[in-house]
Amino acid sequence: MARLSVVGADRDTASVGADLRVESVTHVFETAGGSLMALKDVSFAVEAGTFVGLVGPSGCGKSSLLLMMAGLLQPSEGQIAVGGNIINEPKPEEIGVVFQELSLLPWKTARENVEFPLYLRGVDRLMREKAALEMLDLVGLGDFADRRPHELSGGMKQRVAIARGFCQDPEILLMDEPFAALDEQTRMTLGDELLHIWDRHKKTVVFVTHSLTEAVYLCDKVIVMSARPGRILKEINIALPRPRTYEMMATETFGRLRADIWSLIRGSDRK
Amino acid sequence: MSEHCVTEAEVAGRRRRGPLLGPVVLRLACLGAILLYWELAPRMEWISPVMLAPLSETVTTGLAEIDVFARNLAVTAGSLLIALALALGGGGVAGLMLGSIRPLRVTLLPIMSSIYAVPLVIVYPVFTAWVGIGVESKFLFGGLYGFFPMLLATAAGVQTVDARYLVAARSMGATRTQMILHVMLPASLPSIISGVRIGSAMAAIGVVVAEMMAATAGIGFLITQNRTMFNTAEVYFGVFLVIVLAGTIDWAVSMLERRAGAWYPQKVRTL
Repeated sequence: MARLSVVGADRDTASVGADLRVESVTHVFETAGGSLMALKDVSFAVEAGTFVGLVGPSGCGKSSLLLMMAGLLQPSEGQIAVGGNIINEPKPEEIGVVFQELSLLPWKTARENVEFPLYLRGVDRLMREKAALEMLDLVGLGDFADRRPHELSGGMKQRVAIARGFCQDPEILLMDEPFAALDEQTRMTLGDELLHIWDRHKKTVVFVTHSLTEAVYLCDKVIVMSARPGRILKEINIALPRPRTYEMMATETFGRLRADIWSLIRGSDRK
Repeated sequence: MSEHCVTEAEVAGRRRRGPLLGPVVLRLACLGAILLYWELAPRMEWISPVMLAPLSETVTTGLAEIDVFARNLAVTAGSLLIALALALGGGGVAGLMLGSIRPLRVTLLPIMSSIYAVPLVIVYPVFTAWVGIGVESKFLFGGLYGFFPMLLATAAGVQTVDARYLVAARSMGATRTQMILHVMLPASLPSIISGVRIGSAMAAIGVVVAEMMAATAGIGFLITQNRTMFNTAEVYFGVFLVIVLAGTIDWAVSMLERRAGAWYPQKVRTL
């Protein structure tokens, strides 16, 4: 599918998308019990068009970092930039977010949910309906366009959320543990579907996850973070060919990559 | 999906195990018993006819003076319509603002809930001194009576909107107006409708009570006037008309609820 040319002239970057740069980000939360350092001097870059994973122990600030990349939270120090522009507010045409379950609006049908970001941008009805239905078809929910979220299973809801993310058509798609609430089988299937869509739409994806298998299976590069305060321990390139297949999970390379990540996380947790 | 099926099966099961007489039949039977008692009690002198006119006499008397009743009912209904517009419109807008603008909420909401706890009838004499005992004082008083419950319910609804919806909408680039119209308002609709229910009942009470205290026309006025002249049948016919008016409002709110509540999960709706 060609890019929806609904955005207008202010898109200064090429169609491949822009690099995402996180530059010396430190974040401190002020809580009742004093201040809490969630992130400490985090820097990394995500190349346009790649699929990058963000893993780390619970509470390492992955989700805060994701909110900052989305322009929904301001870092205490440092900055985040997309194609040279600093992100300090949501920029829906550049960055989209697929949240965990339950971010779908329950009073809207699947189609209305998927086309909502286009509606907010003022895209006309026929165009956004067409885009939404195409996306729903792509995630295998073409027949469920008129169902409301409560009539869909957990896996179906998450498919709708992914379709919404892609329908928004940003250059960078951030995903905050999108499959966390799903059972393993659904999770694997959805992972494959996500890769399939990503392959067709070639977006930059930043994927936060708890599952190391998922991270290795989906990503080009996995960024491993330490326990609080979150720091970058290592960036691991996943040198597995694409398209990824289930057979690869049984390979030595896959196992070694997964073990490497695990030992990094475990090591940081013990300190 | 499976969850949904289970609830449906449960509902079906409950229906099979239900009582011999349906709830509608029982409801009609109760109503019939009350009407029968209304007819018999004064006739058999269980209750003095001065205190309670028999049903048949109430109806025949009422019908004989139907033009007087109709004229006054029109006055009451007209005042009530304006009162409803003031209470629901004013209370709704004020509630929306108080619920979504933090400084306003923090300063004004406690004051509003305190005022709601005051029986406003006590200020009615002052009220008539300001605006006279004509029809204006009726709809203004009814409007004031319904304003606070509507405001409080709307504010509560807006305040408790699931933060996930708001964050998601913000990441999709929703402006403040879009956020209110497309997220806050629909998400708080259940609470707003309960505000409409209570607010409109209160507005009706306000109008009728105002008419009973000092007025020149209206059903409340008619009831008071006939009571002082011991025209028991007329009093009860007036009461009957007020009940019809209240029933109509209740029915209208139920219709609204049914249309608006289509997205509630089945489980919530049957409770």
